[in-house]
This record gives sequence, C-alpha cells and structure tokens, in this order.
Amino acid sequence: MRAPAAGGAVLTVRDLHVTYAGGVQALRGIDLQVAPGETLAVVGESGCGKSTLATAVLRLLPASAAVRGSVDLAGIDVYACPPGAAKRIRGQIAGLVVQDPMSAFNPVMRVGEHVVEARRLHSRQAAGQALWDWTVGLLRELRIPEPERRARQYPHEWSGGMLQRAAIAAASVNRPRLLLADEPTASLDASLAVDVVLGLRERLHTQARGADEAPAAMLLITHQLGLAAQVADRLAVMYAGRVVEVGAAAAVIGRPRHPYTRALVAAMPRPGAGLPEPLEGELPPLTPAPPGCAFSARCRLAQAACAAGPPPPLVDGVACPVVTGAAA
Amino acid sequence: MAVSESAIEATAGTAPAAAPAAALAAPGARRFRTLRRLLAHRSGVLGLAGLLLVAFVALVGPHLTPYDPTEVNILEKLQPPSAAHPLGTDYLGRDLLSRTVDGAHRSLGTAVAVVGAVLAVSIVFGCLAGFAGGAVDATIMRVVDVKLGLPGLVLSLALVGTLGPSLGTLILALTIAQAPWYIRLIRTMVLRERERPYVLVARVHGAPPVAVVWRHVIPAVAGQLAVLATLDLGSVVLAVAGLSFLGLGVQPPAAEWGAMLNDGRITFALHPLLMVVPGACIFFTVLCANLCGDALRDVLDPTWQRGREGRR
Amino acid sequence: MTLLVWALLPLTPGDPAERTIRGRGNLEPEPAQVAALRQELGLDRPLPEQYAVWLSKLVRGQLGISYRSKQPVERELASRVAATLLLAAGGVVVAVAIALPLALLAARHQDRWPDQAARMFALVGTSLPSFWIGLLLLDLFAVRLRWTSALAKPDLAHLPLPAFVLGLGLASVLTRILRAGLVGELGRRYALVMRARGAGQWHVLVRHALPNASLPGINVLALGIGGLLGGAAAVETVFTWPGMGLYIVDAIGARDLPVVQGFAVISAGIFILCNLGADLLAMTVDPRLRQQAQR
Repeated sequence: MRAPAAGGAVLTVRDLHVTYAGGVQALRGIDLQVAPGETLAVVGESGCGKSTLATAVLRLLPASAAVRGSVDLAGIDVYACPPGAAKRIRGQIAGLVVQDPMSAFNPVMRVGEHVVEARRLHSRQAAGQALWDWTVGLLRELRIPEPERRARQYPHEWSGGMLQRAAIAAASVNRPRLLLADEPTASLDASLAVDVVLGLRERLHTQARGADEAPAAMLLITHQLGLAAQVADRLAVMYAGRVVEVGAAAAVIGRPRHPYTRALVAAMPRPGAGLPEPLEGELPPLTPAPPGCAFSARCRLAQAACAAGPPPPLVDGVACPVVTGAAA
Repeated sequence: MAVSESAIEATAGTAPAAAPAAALAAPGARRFRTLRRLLAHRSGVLGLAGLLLVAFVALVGPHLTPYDPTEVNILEKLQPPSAAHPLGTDYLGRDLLSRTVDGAHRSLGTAVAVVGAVLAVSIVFGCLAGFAGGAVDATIMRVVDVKLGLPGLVLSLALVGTLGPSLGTLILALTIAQAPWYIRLIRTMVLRERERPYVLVARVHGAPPVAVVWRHVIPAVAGQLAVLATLDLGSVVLAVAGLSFLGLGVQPPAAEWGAMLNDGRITFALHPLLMVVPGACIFFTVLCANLCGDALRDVLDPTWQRGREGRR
Repeated sequence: MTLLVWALLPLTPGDPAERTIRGRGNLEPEPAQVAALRQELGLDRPLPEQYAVWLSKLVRGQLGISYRSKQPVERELASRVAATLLLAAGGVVVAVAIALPLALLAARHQDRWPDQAARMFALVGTSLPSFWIGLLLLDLFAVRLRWTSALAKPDLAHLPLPAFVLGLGLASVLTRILRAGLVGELGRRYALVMRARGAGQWHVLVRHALPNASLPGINVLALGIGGLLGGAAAVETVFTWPGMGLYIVDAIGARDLPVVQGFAVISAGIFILCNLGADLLAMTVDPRLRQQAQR
C-alpha cells in the first residue's frame, strides 16, 4: 500500500510557490527533502512562510491561494492526485501537530474521542470499547496520568502540555511516515517544550515496531533555533519565503555561513557565548517581494548587486553568492 | 422624513460636533470613509435608493394624488384599473393609487416616529443610568430587565390592548417594546465613554453632565446608533403594518398599508390588486431598509465582512 | 427574576383611570349598571388591593374573570394556548428544517451560489410581512388549488401552511446566525487540524463546526419563540387558527382587560420556559457551560 518514495525521500518539495489572494507571496520557490526517519527543522522568524509550508504540504491552503511547484509525499504527487487521494494522505501518510493545543481541539468533544475519531477516519475499526481501551493505552504510553479518567474529560480540563501530547497521539495514531510539527511548543513553557518534542521523537521511534519499517520522519517548524539544535538532524533556514541555508544541524549552528543564519545564531542565547545580539530590522514586505536577495536590506555583507536580479539560488546549501565566493 | 437621510446626517453630522475634542478627529474622518464605502456597496446603494424613493413618495406624494385617499364614492367601488384610476378602486370606491401613496406617508412616517422616539427615550434613560449610577441606574435597569423578560410583540399587543387601539398608542407601544434593548446598549456605551480621557478632562473642568453628554458622549455613540436604527427600521415597518392589519394601529378610514391589506382580503379573489399592492409596498420598503442596514453593518464591522477563506 | 417579571406585569399596562373609562365606554352606557359591574369585577377597590388580589389569584393559577364571557380567563385561554403552542412548535420545526440545511450548504460553499442563495433567502424572509404571504398562500392553496380549507382546524392536517408562514421569519434569522457561526468555526484552528487528520469538509462541518455554531442558534431560537407568540396573532387571524393570538385580538377590540393580562402572563411564562429550555439545551451541547452551572 505504501509505495516506496521516489529517491527514498518521504517528502520532496520542488520549487513550491504560494501566493495568497491578497497578493502576499508566502512561499517563493522552496526545495526541500526529508528522508525516512530523519528530523528536519525549518527555522525562521514569524512571517517567513513556515506555517504556509505545513498547510501547503497537506494541500489545505485556502482555495483562493495560488500554488505552483510540486509536493511529493511518499511517492504521491499531492497536487496532481484526485481530492480523495489527498484526503487519504492526510493523517495516514502525514500527520499534523500545530501550536496552541487548546485551539486545536473541538471544545465540545472529549479528548479521547478526538483520538478515536482520528483513528476511525482511516480504518474500519468500529467505535467501541476495544477502540476506547486502545486509546486509553495510547495516552498511557504518552505518560498521561490517569488516562481512563482523563480521556473522558474535555479539552478545557487539560493542561496545555498534556493536550499537546494528546494532539501528538491523534496525529500519529495511523502511524504516518511523516509528522509535520508546526511550532508545537510555541505556546508552552520552555521546560515543557523540550519534553513535548522529545516525546514526539520517542513516539515516532516506538511506533515503528516492524523491522522492515523505518521510524517516521519529522518536519519540525519552529522559530526557536535552540530547540531545533537539540532535536533536529538537519536544519533548513527560511527567510521571506525562501530557503537560504540548509545542512546538518550541528554544522549550520556550529559554522553558520549565510549572513541571516549567522545573525540568527548570534541572537540565540547560549552558555559561554556572551550576550545574544538581537536581530535588527524587519522582514521585507511580500506584496510583491523585493527583487534580488530579500535579506540584502538587513545584511551587513550586502553589496550593490545583492538587491537586483533574481533571488540567489542555493549553491552548496547556501543562497548567498557573497559568502560562497561566486560573486565579487 | 426618511430615516436613511437622518442616518447619514447622524453619521456625517458628528464630525463637526466632535471637532473640539482632538481625540475624536480621527473617528470623524473614519465616518466619512464609512459613507464612501457605503456608497461603494452595491446592494447598500440599491437599498438606499429604494428607501429614498419611498421617502420621496411619502413626503411629496400626498400633495400630488389625484383623489382624496379617504373620499368614498360608492358608485365607483371595486373598479378595475383604468385611466381614471390607474390601480382601480377599493370596496368603498376609494382610489387605490391615492391610498397607496398616502399609506407610504403614514406607514413610513409612523415607523420613523417610532425609531425616533426609541432613540430619544433610550438616549435620555441610557445616559441617565450610565451617568447617575446608584439607585437611579438600578431602578432603570430593573425596569429594563423586566421589559426584556417579555417578547416585544407580546408587550406591544398587551399595551395596545390596555390603552386602546390608536395611532398614538401604537407608537407608544412599539417604542416601549423596543427601547429596553437600546437603553441597555446606550448605558454600556456611556459607561465606556465616560472613562475616556477627554470626557474625564471635561468633567474635571466642571462641565455639567448634560453638556458632557451632548458634546462628547452622543457624538461617540451616534454612528453605532444610526446602524442599529436602520437595521430596526425594517422590523418596525413590519410591526406597524402588522398591528394595523389586526386593526390595532392606524384606524380607518386613514390609509395605511397594513390596514389596506386587511380591507383588501375580503375581495381578494376577485380584486387581487387591492391586497397585492399594499403588501408589495410593505415588502419593498422593509427589503430596502434591511439592505441598507446590512450594508451599514458590513461597512462598519469588519468582522462581518465575508472573508475569502474557504478551504479547498 | 422570574417572580419579578410576573409581579410587575399588571403594573405595566396603563393607569387605572384610563382602564375604567375605557371599560365603561365599551361595556354598558347605564351608570348604575357600570357601577354594579365595577363592583362585581372588583374595579372599585384601590389599585394596590386589586393588584394584590390579582397576584394572589395568579399564584393559585387564576387569571381573573373575563369581562365579556364572565368565564375564568385561564379556562378561556387553556384550549387556545394549546392551539398556539402547536402552531409555534410547527413554526420552530419549519424554521429549523429550512435554516439548518441552508446554513450548512452556505458555509460549505462559502461565497458561491448556495451562499448567495441563503443570503437572499434570509433577506427576503425577514422582509416579507407574514400576514401578506399568508393571505397569498391561503388564496393559492385554499381558493385556487383547493388543497386545503380556508378555515383551519387546530390539528396536524391543517398545520403545515400556517406553520410555514409563521416560521419563515425565524428561519431567515436562524439561517443567518447559523451560517455566520459555521463560517466562524471553520476558520478556527481545530477545523484545520481535523482536515489534516483526513476528515472531509462535510465531516468537519457537521460533526465539529455545527455543535459549536449551534450555541448562538439555540439562543436565537428561544428568543424567536417569543417572537412567534406575538407573530402568531397575525398568522392566526389570517388562517382563523383558533389560538391565543386570534382570541387576544378579539379581546383587545372588546377591551377585555383580564384576558389581555392573562395573555401577557402566559406568554411571559412560555417565554421564560423557552429560555430555560434553551439554557439546558446549550448545557447538553457545551461541557464548559455544564461546569459553570455546577459551580
């Protein structure tokens, strides 16, 4: 049923453009790949198009948004397949966890029922005691105290951290190949954040029980570089709708090359690295996006040529001709 | 007097009144923008044009009608439409066209009178409750709560039943039935406005409460009230016609659409115009008022604007 | 609060002098007879005493004696209340039956033709005078098509037409509120999350958005039933439906004050019960309201 993905990747995004009805160019040519079992973190300031990426992968953008490019999920072309197939992709091949768990639950439905429903959307399993017991077991695995009682409660009776774990349970209940986590910790305390993300990874690894099955991959979208550094294998840095740097997480953070990545890393508080330097300036307007490198207006290394012509392509994982020496 | 006109006067007229308070200059400018946006709202313009048409007929028409709308001519009863009587005559030989035009005057006039009375009463009591506070506030709000415990139409029926049917009673009954909502609303707005810095400044400087209300509070709430009044105009026209239809409002022989409808129902099978014309007039007027009100609400309240956020 | 409404009710209508003058004008012109009648009806006693007597009777379920028929008002009204309640129930059923599918379709196909159609329906429905459309439909079905008789009996067979006419206005209001609520809920984050789990648009709409959007709808419905009680007067007159509304119009014509008062009391009672019912219904839908009530 699950065809092996083209080139082995779980997710392949090619030259993805998304323009909203108001003319905002949220994504301007994104190329990304996620390998099985890998955790790719996409980092950037709010407004850089990260969340649009998550909804675009699932083909859940508003009908009025214009999409160009392709998204390939486990061998299925998301935008070329019929809507029914797109529906099966969601929840079965890719799960979604969003920020602010309180708003991600239907307030008049019991927490356990959310998990049951997520399961039944992709299986013929009848709603009954067996499925309920299974749900309670799942919540117990995720270290929810008193899962029998808790499952019968409503979302507002749960704490944010617990609810996010339930959201993870509901998103991974059909053992998807890829989990899209869109700022899963943005509304949680810092101490909970790592806990939740580690729980996420643990879940992805424990659910792959068969030897033939690789653990699920994760696309972690976050503005917290520190969190990404802790859990991600690879890192993609986004700015104004484009990926400006991509590479192994340790390398990108240890030796940032793109001026924007350098600024981000410098703004990240780290022990023994002195005071963080806040990032100056604001994101450029995206209606329409400026010509040339979008970061050039804030860039310390900017040259005259940076603000003209087409935006620089990714060369060797960095979209900056000044740094790679292609220019000058 | 058309309420649509008064609504615009109210929205536009607030700008000069607000000029002394610097803080209100911006809202004043916003209201002009509101007017412009209203004029760009297609269905809103249609409704406004329709209402102005009815208002024009109501104001000018009665002087132009070929016949006295209450003149009985039994020899010419139930005439079909002809050159002499473009819409025919009713069961007493009265000219239908003349009565319809005269009815516009009475139906719309009564509704506007009700809306005006509601606004006047509720501004007085709302401001009184909001500004006086204490026992006055408590008394007014208790009466309001009791009134809200009864459906408006039931209350109107009970009042008309007690005081006896007449045009005056009708206006009084509908005013009393509508006012509680407005009083409560205005009180809330006054409570909010009175804490604004410029109102506090005026009060500290010893301005009498009436002056503060007149200069600061009323301009601030006028726009919202105009929207509400326009939205309500349609339902008030319906209520006036409905009660008159039941014989509880405008009394014969005066021409009023609801009452004319009731006259026409007996002979409807043979002379449908007698009922269709006044009914269509009520429908048209209410439709235009509702279009206008919807447009005003769309324009003033961005959350009501239909977003293009449908998901694929 | 409930008690307050009831207690203040007889104070609402007019002043006592006016009442008596009106009463005299319509009953008997002979002064001696009037005096006797006034004594008989207790109108010669001071107002507070009248009120106290009226109130104490009210507590025992008595609404006074009709001026016209000399019968207890509660007995006069009893059968008519049932007829009106049947009509109002029919109106509510019609309103929900029209508004629910229309609002769902409008929200599902937002800004496309079903949405425009629903908007148009809501606009026309709130603008149509019920008595006018009632008369037109009555003429069409009873006189021209002869499908039903023009004289209605208060039973289910004669219910559809008057119930439709009565429910039309409420259907429009309900459509508008539900549509706005559904569109609002679909814009919430949980709707996106449900879709991301593989739920279809109808599933999200009916299973998730509708229960949440129905909460304001329930309130509108309860307020709307109050409107139906008043609106029933016109519809009952058109269809000669022997309910409370038709009766009250007659009573007003005859200045039968106890009947008018009784009508107001009964309507207020029904209205309060409806609001109570709406609160209970909202509580069964929304667990947060349940817990508020428990606290």
